[in-house]
Amino acid sequence: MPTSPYIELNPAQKEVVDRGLLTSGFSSVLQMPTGAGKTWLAEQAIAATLESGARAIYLTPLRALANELVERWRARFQGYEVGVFTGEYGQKQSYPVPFERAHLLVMTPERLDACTRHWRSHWNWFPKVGLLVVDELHLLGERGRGPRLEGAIMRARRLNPFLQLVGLSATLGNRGELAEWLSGVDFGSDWRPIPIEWRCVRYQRATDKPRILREQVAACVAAGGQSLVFVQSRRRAEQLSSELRGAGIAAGHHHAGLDSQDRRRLENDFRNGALRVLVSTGTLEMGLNLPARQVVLYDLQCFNGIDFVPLSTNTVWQRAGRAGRRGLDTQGEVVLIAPAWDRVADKYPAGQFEPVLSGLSEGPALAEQILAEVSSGLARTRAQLGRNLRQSLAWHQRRLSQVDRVVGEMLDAGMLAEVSDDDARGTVLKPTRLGRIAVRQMLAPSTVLQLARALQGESAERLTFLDLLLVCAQTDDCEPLIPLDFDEIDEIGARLACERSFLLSGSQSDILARFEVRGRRLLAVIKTALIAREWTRRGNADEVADVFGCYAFEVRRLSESIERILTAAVAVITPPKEDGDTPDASPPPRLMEDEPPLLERVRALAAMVAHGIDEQAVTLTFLSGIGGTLARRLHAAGISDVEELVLADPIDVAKVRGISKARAERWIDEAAELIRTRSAFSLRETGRTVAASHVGWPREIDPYRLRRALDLRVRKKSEGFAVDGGLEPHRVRLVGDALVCDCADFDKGQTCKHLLAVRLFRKDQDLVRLVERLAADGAAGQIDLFQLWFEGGRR
Amino acid sequence: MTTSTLPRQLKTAHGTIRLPAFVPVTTFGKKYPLDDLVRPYLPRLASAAMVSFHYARQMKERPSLPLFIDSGGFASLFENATVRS
Repeated sequence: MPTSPYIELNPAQKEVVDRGLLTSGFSSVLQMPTGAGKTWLAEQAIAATLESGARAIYLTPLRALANELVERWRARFQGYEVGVFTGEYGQKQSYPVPFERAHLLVMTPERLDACTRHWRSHWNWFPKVGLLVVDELHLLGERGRGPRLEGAIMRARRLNPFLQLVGLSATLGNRGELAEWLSGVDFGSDWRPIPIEWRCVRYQRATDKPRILREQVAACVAAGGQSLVFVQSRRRAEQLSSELRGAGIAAGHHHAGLDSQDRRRLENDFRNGALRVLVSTGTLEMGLNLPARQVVLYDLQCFNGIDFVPLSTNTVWQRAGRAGRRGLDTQGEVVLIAPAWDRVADKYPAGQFEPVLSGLSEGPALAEQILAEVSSGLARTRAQLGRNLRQSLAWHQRRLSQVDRVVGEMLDAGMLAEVSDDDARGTVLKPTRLGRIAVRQMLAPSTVLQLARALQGESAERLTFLDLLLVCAQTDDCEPLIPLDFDEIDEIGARLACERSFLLSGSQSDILARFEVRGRRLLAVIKTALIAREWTRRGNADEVADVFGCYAFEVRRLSESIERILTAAVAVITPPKEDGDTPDASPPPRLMEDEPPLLERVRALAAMVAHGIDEQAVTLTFLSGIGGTLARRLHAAGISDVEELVLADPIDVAKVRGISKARAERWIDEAAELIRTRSAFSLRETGRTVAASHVGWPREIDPYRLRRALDLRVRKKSEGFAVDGGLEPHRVRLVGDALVCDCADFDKGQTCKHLLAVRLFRKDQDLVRLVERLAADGAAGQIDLFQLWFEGGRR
Repeated sequence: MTTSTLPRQLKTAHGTIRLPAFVPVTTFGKKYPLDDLVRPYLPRLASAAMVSFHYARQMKERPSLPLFIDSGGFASLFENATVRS
C-alpha cells in the first residue's frame, strides 16, 4: 500500500497498515479514538482503490465536513475527479462533478440511499466502485438517519458484491458484531495522541453551574488553553457564551440554528485563537477537526423528544474526544459538571460504550425500507423481500420480527399492492402510486399517507394555504419543527386570529379531530406553519426569524423541507395518467371568479415556499419561462404580479438581471393574455379569518386574550390592580383614565389579557356582553392554545 | 516429448488476455436485460468476453475489456433472414 514516506505512523495506524486490513479486500470496522488518525487511514484505502482503477465513496454525516474533505482531497488526489454529493446540491444547483465522472464521491448517507433506491439511473458508475468508507459508523444506531444508512449499505452491498466497506468510529460497543454483519474483520485501539484527564465537578444547586463553568474555563484560558463547552440547548449556548463574554473571556456560541457561514467563521476564530471558548450544542460532536485543551460537559442530559435522559457514554466520548490539541498540549482535560446527588457521571470515564442497535426494528423505519426495496425492483416477492432484509443489521441482531405485519399494514394502507404474476408463479409486491411518490421524494410512507388523507378527503377544497402548511408541518418529514414556548402562546394566538384556516375553525373537538398530533406538538406544528406562511409573505429569513424568535437558518431549512413535502403533495393529487386517456386531458376552462382548484393552489404554494414569494407574486410564475427566482427579482423591482407586469414598460422590465427586452415584451404579451381569464388576485384567500367567527366583534379586543382573561384573578391594590393566574403576576395601574399594564404584550401595543381582566373586574358592561357572546358562540370559537399546552408533549 | 508452443497470453488493444481464460458470453440490446446488469462487472470477473455478431451490432457502449465476436450464425434462423455468400 502506498504511504507517504514523510508521515510517521502512530501505533494504531501502523498496526492497521501492517496487518493489511485496508488492502486485504475484506470489509473492516476500525474503532479508534478521535484524533488517532482514522481519516488518514481512510485516505490510504482511497488512494489504493483509485490506483487500482476503481472508484471510492466516502460517507460523512455532515455537509460542512463533506465540503472540507473535498477541498482537501482535490489537492491530495490530483488527476482524479473528486465530487461532492450532499443536500446542498442536486435540486437548485447541479453537482460540481456529476456522478458518472467522479472517481472519489464524498456524500452524505442520504445521497447514497437515494442512489441505491434509484440504482438503475446510477448503473453507469456504481459497479465501478470498489470501496465504501462509512465515517461515524455509529450513526447506524441513530433513530432518524440510522435506518436510512443501514438500508443504503444493505442495498449497496447487494448491488455491488465487490464492494469493500471500511467503517470508522470512535465509539462502538459492539465492533465485532458490526464486522460480523459486514462479513469483515474488526480492529480496535485505545491509543490516543494526547492522553485525557477526566474530572468531575459537583454542584449542589443548578444555579451554581454558571459559576462553576466560569471558574473552570477561566483557569484553562489563563493557562493559555482553549475550552470547548457542550450544552443541551441553543438558548443555553447563547446565554452562557454571553455570560462568559461579560466575565471578560473571548467566548462564542455554535449550534445548528446558525447558518453555515457563521458557523465556519466561528470555527476559524476558534482555530486561530481569536476565540478562547466555544459553547456548543451537539453540532461539534462529530466530524470537524476542532480540538481544544479542555472540554466541558455542562449538561449531562439531553432531550430525547419525550423527556430528559442521561447522555449515553458514546455521546460523552464523542465530545470528550475533542480534548487535547496535537503538538500544543501534553494532556487534554475533560470536565463533567454533575449534580452532587447523581452518580451517573461516574460511569463515563470507564468508556464502556453502548452497542449500536439497528433502528430498523421500528415499524415506520422498516416500512420506509420495505418500500425502497420493492420500489427499486430489488424485491418482487415476499420471499425476496425476506431474503434481502436478512442482510440487514436488524436481522443480524435478531431485531427484525415484524416484517410480515408491516407488509400487511402497508397493503392495507395502500402503499403496496400484491398482484398475481404468472412469471413469478404466485403473487408479487408492487408499490402503488403513493408508494412510488414516497420513494421518489425520500419521504416516510406515513408522510405520504397523511398527505393523501388530507388532500383527498371531503374537505380538501376548503384547505387554505395555512392549512396546507399545517398538513405538511405535522408530518414526520417536516424538519425542523419549531417548538412554542409558553410565553409565546398569546402572540401566536393573536397571529392565528388574523389567518384564514378551515382546519383551525369550529369547536375544539372539531379542530382536534382534523389533526394527527396533540398537545405541545400541535402547538409546534401551528407555530411552524405560521413561520412558513410568513416566509411566503416576507421572503427574508432574517426578518421571519426575528418575528418568531427562531433562527434564519431554521427558516431556510424549513422552506426546503416543506417544499419537498409539497412537491409530494402535488404528485398525490395530480390525476394519474391512464393508458386510455385521450391526449386532450386538460381541465375545462375556468371562469375568472372561480376559486382555483386545490392542485393549482398546492402547486402555487410549493413555488411560494421555494422562493419566498406571496400569492400575488407567484402569478408571475404562470408565464412560461418565469420561475420562482425571476419572479422574486421582478417582485424586488416593483413588479409584484401579472397585472403589474402588463402595465410595465419592457425597457424597465429588461433592467432586471437575466431578462432581455425581447423576453420582457413576450412576457408582457403573455401576461396580457393571461389576465383575460385570471386575476393577479386569483390566489388571494377571501374566506373568514380564524377570529372572524365572531362577526361584528370589536377589532381592538382579541377574543383569544379575552378568553384567557377569564382565567385570571384580579385583586384591588392601593396603587392599582394585581393580576395573577398566568405565567407570572402582573400589575395594572390607572394612569388618568387609562389602564396601563407592565407586561410585554401591553408594551407591544396590545390590549393584553391582564387589562381585559381588570376591565371585567370593574364590570365593564361592553366587555361583559362580549364575554356572554363568547360563551354563546362557544362551539364556533377558535382553538384554545392554552389547553393544548397543558395537554403536554403528546404525539 | 514436445514442448508446448501455445501462447501464455494474448495482447490486444483493449488489454491482455491471460491463458487459459474464462470467457463469458454477453449480449447487447433488449432481449436479455440481465446481461446489462452483469456486464459492468465483467472486467472484474474475466479478462475477455464473447458476443455474437448479431448482438454486437446493437452495442452502444463498449465494455472496457477485449471482446471476441462470434459469427452469430443462429441469426440465419430468424424469420425473413437471408444468407449471403
